[in-house]
Amino acid sequence: MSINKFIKASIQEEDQRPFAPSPRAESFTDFDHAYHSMLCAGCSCLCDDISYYMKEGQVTRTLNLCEVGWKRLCAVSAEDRVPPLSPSLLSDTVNHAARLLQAHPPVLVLGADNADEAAIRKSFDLAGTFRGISLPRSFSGIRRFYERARRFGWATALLDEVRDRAESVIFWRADPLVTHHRHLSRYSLFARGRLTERGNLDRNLAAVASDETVIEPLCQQFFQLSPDRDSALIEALAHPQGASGFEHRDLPALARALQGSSYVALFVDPEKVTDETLDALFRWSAKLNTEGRKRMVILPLWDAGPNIEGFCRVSLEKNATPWGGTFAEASAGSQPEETSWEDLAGTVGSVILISSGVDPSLGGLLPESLSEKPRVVIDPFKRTPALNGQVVIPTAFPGLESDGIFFRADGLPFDVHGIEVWRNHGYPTVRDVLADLMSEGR
Amino acid sequence: MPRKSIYELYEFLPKTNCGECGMSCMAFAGHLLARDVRAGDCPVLDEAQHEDNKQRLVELLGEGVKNELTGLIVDDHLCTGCGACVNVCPVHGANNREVALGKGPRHNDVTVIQIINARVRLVNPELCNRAIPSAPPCKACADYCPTDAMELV
Repeated sequence: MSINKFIKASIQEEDQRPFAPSPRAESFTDFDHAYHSMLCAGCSCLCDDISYYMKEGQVTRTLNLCEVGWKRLCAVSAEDRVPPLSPSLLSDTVNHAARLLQAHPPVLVLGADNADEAAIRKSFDLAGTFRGISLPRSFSGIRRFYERARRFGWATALLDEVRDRAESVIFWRADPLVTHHRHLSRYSLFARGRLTERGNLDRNLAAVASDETVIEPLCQQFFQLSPDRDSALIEALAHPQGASGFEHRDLPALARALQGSSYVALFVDPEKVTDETLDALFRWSAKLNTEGRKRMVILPLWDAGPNIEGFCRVSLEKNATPWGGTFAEASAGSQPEETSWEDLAGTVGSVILISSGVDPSLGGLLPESLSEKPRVVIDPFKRTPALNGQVVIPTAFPGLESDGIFFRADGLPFDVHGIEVWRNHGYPTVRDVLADLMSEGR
Repeated sequence: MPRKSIYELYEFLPKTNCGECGMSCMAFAGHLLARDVRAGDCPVLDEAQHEDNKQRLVELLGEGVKNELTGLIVDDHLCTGCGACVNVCPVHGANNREVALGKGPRHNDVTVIQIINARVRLVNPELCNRAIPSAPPCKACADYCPTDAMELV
């Protein structure tokens, strides 16, 4: 059979096929409440296309939710979740926690980037009450990143602009498939934009990492390097004509791709790169943007709380620094500026830990240097006992059992609404607990 | 993207061509790859000396069930619900502008695949290009799956 005959026969066969109705999404009926176009506060992607189907208070089906959001959702109704405290017990517990914190100043409020904007504000007020500071877990990376932004200037963009314009995307020691599962499909690789109409076919993807990563098979260029070689690679990319001495099989291809791109988006995990690398990246971006031939934007992409950008904004407002401040700034005559967990351990008297993840091994645990300090754990997750806290106060899941404002990875604020039928679970919100602690501490 | 091959599976078969399964070992490997048979269908693999090989085959082939119309197999253990497959599907790109722009399909959109409960699910296999004989051969979803959770056989 010739190819033309084959195609004709196939079309005829298709035309003659009996029409079968599709099992569409609406055919799903095992629910009594359905919520559509909901926002997920599982990570700082803040996906706004989630559908939840609920029956008798349990989720029976979700649409468009990735694994991170799904795990959070399952944790809400997990059997081993710490049950809510009765009002009298909650009051006693808060009172006990306040006395513990008063007896061990100064207080470190850690992990407010996991909660909504109002809770972050309360965390700063509370830290002020107990002569302490509020910090996110990834404070050292944030500090180093924003110091460079101040020094060299910072070209950034909304993720929607990256989707519309970025012809080259580089993940510098950041892996969205580990921390932000839908980042590639929503913004940085597969999504089609105004000037990238064929999505990933109109983009060049490169990644730099120490080990083999999940993103590697998707990359046109992949650089497996130790962090101390980053500066040499940046030098070779910034000056492709010069003799930098850096050699890699993918270097010429990436240099060519960057040369042909008018818009480059660079996602960097500041926790995983050295100071020299951050300096070099910001200098490179400033040089390209000043020359005006192309635009290069830098966006942080880190394994931090979902509202890390909200934390930076509130901190800027309260402390004039986006990284949460230091004890030296909080109380004159205190220790010099802290830069590491060990430095903090020398100053901190007690810790308020706002839980940072479903899986405690993913950054939920305190570093060893702070593990001996008295601690109050504010925890919406299912842990018994919760992170070995002296006082444990179970709270509502921000964004699922309570409302609040969260900031996307590019700094855009979104009003995240909780699921209505879960609001009556009886858990207090993180901001309420922090406010109670503050009033008890006064 | 690395895919399982017939030779890779053949390595774990007894290679005796005993015919107890009704075919040669190489043919059995081909049917294994297409998920038409399972490792347990080879009686020789049940013997104690082949236990490790049988286990390895089960691990290699995963627990996904093949959709007969499209040949798609999804390994739920590997899928993270990232939605790359939904986004690159040419049927979605042509029919749904929002999906092409990066959003997930709405609850009432007619799509080939959807992310349901954080795992990819084939909801309308008859719309898939692979189910239409006259359509160009397509394997975009499997090609761009970053975790190799999708396989087309």
